[in-house]
Amino acid sequence: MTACTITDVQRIDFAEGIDDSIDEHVMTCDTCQAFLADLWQGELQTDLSEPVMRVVGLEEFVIAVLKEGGGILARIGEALRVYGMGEERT
Amino acid sequence: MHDRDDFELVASASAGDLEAFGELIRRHQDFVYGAVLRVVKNPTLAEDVSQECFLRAYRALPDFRGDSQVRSWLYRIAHNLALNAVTRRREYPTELMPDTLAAEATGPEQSAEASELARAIGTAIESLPEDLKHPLVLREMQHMSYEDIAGRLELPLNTVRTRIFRARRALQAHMRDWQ
Repeated sequence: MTACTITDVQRIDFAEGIDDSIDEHVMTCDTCQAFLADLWQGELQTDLSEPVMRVVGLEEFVIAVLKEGGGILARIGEALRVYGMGEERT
Repeated sequence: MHDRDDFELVASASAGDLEAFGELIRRHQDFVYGAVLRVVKNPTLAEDVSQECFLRAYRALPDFRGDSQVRSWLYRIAHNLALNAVTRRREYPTELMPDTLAAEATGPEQSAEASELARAIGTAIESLPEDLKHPLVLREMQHMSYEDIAGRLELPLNTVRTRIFRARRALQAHMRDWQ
């Protein structure tokens, strides 16, 4: 494996969008990516894990329902029969 | 506490450990966001594309064979999605860009708005830490070269460039909510 010869100035120019010539190189270079990761640390003002994990959780739930097929639906139906539909009782 | 490396987190996430994937997101979200923002140049769009990047990555977990670093893998996904987003925005522009709006600001109301903006920028610059503010002011207001700033502040050239980069980003973040 050859050492990366890109300078920090080139990397910063790349980060600022001034120079795209190392685009392909950055795609596969761990050294450049490590530099950029350090440079971009703290850039994001919000935590993306929460919204992403919400979607992932929903996807997993839907997949589970599809896999279980009628099993889950039958259990929901049974639960409704046993515990009622939530109507007010007098 | 044992910090799991990226490959361990990917393996755990593939096996259904959602918390492991959450940890991967938190570990790499700044990098992914930075890579996307560099291409799309719009913070809101960059956040959306970054979220999409992690969703794509999650769905592609079973295909990740570990031939490259996880960060490289995420970078490729993010880069491709960012390029697609730029292409879509070019094909279906939905809003005027700030520079277009500025070019059209000619009336008294717009002048007042411009003054307000200038004040907001001034406040934002004032709020920067000293080590970021000084190089930024020398660069943007006194139009000094990076080399001259490095000489003036007795700092290495790369440090000056990095600080100016961070100062610009901090200003952008500060001004994001300004309307």
